[in-house]
Amino acid sequence: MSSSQSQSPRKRKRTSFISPRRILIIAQSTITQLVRMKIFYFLAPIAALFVGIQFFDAPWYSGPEASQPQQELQMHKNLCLGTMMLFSSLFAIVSTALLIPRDIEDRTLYTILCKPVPRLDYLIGKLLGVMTVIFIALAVMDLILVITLHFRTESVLADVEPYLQNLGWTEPQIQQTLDRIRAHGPSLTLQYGVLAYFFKASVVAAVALLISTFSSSTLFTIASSVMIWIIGAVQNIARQGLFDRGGLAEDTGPIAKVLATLVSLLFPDFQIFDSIADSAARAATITPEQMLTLGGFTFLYLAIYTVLSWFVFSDKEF
Amino acid sequence: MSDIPAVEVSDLVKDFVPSFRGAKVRAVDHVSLRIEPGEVYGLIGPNGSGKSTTMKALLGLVRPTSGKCAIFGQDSLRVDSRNDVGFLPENPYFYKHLTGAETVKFYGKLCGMRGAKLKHRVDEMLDLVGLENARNRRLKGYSKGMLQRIGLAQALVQDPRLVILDEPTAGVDPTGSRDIRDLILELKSRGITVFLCSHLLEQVQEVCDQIGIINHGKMVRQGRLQDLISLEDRTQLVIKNSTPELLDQLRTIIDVTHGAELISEGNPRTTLEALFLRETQPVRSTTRTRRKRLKK
Amino acid sequence: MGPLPKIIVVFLGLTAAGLTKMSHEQKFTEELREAGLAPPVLKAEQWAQMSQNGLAGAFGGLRSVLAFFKSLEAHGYFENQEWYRLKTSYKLITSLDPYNPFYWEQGSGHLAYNAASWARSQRDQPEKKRLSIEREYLEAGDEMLREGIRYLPQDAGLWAEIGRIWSHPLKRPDIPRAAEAWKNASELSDNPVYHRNYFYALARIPGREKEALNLGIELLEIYPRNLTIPNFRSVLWALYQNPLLPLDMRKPTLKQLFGSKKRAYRDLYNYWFRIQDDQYYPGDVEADLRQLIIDLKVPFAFNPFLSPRQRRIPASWWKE
Repeated sequence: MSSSQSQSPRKRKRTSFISPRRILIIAQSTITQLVRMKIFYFLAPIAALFVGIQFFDAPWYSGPEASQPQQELQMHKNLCLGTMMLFSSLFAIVSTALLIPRDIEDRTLYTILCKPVPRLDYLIGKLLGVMTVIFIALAVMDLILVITLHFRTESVLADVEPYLQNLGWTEPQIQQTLDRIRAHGPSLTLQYGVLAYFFKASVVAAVALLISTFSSSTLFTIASSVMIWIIGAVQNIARQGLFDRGGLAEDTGPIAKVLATLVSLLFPDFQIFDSIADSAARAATITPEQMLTLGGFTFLYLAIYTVLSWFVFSDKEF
Repeated sequence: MSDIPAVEVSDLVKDFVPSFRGAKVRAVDHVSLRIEPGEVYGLIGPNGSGKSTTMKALLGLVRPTSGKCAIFGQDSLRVDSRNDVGFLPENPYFYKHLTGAETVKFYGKLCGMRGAKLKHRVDEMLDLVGLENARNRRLKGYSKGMLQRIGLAQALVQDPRLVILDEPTAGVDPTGSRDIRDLILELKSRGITVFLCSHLLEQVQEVCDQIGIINHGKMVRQGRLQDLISLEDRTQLVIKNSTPELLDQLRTIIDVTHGAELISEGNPRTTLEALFLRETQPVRSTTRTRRKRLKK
Repeated sequence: MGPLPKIIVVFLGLTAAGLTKMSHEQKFTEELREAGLAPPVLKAEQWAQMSQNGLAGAFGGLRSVLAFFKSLEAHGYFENQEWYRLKTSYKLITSLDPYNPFYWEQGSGHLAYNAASWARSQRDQPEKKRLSIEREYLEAGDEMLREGIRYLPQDAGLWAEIGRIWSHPLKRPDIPRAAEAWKNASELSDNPVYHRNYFYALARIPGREKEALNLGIELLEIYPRNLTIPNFRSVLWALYQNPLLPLDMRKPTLKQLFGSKKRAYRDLYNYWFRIQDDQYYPGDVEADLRQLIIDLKVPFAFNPFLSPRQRRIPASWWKE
């Protein structure tokens, strides 16, 4: 133990409002906690599933003579991306819902908050830790998807090219068809889809964080977060009716309109993330500007839920 | 007395309102206390008397309904005030997934420590609490006593000026308990202020300078320990190798002295703790050796 | 602050944030819809038709995955010939994944081909009823493709499918409808198949032979390989025989168009039988055929005016 520090007057340390370093420390601890809960073991069956999908042919698959030979690649992507979305969203809910209530129950939180750690740093650190683990998991799944999709794309190309040559198609026509198939293979657009699901899972985690700050029950937090996840997928439909006639707004009564308004205001719109991801699976053109806008919405949602979480958590008593 | 006390609790009141309905429960009722730097203060009281709530108010874990708490002059609700505080909770629980060394390092980092200084400090603390051999074991494999010791290590990691200990010897064997007592005295000798709650009154008596007795949320008695427990109108003599004749003479003197009265006589007793230690610890490190170790 | 006031403040905070973000969300969603990246708003009747699975998919953000699994289910309906369920199923599938042309094609294919064929084959039903139901399924297939074109206006394949339905020789050809569809397909794509099919369809519409001929000549210039296709050569030759063409119009010889007399005979032999199958094809090639029979000393068996159609004439005779 140092001999002089306790006796000589100390320069008073000023704790900053937000410290990136402290946030990273808590995030790192959260990552270690989740990793040591063997969360990545779940990736093994998912990897097996992705590899299995590679060899799966739908019963309506008709080989290279199909009018849309790239459809099997789209099926491959839809199934894999769907799995990634489910895993990342549910993981975000469950892991975030467990973190704070567990810290409170175990009183680990006391020892943390008794150090010079602002509560906001603690919340952001926890959220960042969960987001990092989700990112890593999605990155691994993405890698497996890219590899299996690459092999499947090459297989389709190898089937289609000689078939079209036998039909007497010209070289430019064949290349056009092959390019259409290649567009459905691994591409930057596909990565946009994965990124969209990462954004979605991050927002879901922030929602779970908010609920966990005022709920003492993990089960309630999980159930509420799942409900918000579901409602968020159709928030755009409720909102649509407020902006123009159409959808469910047709011939709806005042109660339905009030409900639609509440849903539009209170819940995030998860459809924007799903739309981008679905479009990525279809190899549609997604611009960097659209991804930036999506990132902007993600940041906005994260900020809203984190600030509200801080508001609830800041004077929570233990 | 210095100008800035280590701890100042002024007229603290804390009410709890259970759920959305139910009568308000007053856990702390106008409690005031002041601890000077370098003192050891013991807060004692029965279960549910408000000790923990007072401690939590000081640590900013609960917000006072009224009154103020300050640590070295800083409002305890401010995060800054915790730069100088190390806290060992009752029945401490830390992240089970971390090892002993990782735990101390984690808390050191939260206090802004880093690099070689932090590494050295972690080694020092683990050595101090006797957990060097278990540094790489995850906390889920630790016994209660080991958890208590790792709790001490994290409380002291940033070399705080004030250490708050809530039942520091709960669940610890007499040897460990003695070590903790020695540690508290060591901290005191270094000028570190200690604020502790304990049910083990004998231990409180051994280490504290000041005590406060709290009951039903109110501070019923407070002051310097020696002043509170000394029976002013009585004197104690402990004589070694006395003879019956000497004892008779003393009795006679007392009889003839106006106002004096012999209350009791007999063989003084040792403590069960001292007996236990004598019987179970044939070779014990001396306080001087411990001081040497701490100085390194 | 107690828990209830906190919840109220959180609610108000979310409401305030919602008021700020709502218009931006709407704007972004509309931008994505315009770009064909976001699904269209589901109509009220589509919601009503959605089964629990559909709702789950829509709510869970797994629309395209659910569409895939529903298509597997629909395949089962096809195998069991449950056409009503299949049709309902594809309505749901296409609403879940409307920007995927595959499902529009697949659904319409089941209706226009499989269901229509099944209807026609029900011998225990009166013929009028069979034909009526068959027609219904053909129209249902056509309608499904046109619905798909609303979502995918740039997809030539969907127009091509409409063209195939109405030009299929074994179905109920509607050549003007087929021509319109092939025209749209060829405008959206460079696929020579679409252009040729438009040419064939146009050639079969009475009164549009000149237009067809001009198109044929243009296609020959763009895709010289069209000359290697027997049907193309035959139709073009037949169009050149149109008596309404200007007399001074430059016409190719038999050898120029077909490469040899034997090849010309082979192509026109098949073309002749196609005309006899009551499928309107332009031009009168009988005179050319009779001349070739004399010039080539065609055997009795291969003479279309004396023998029935030979599905397989020996290669030795065709050899040049």
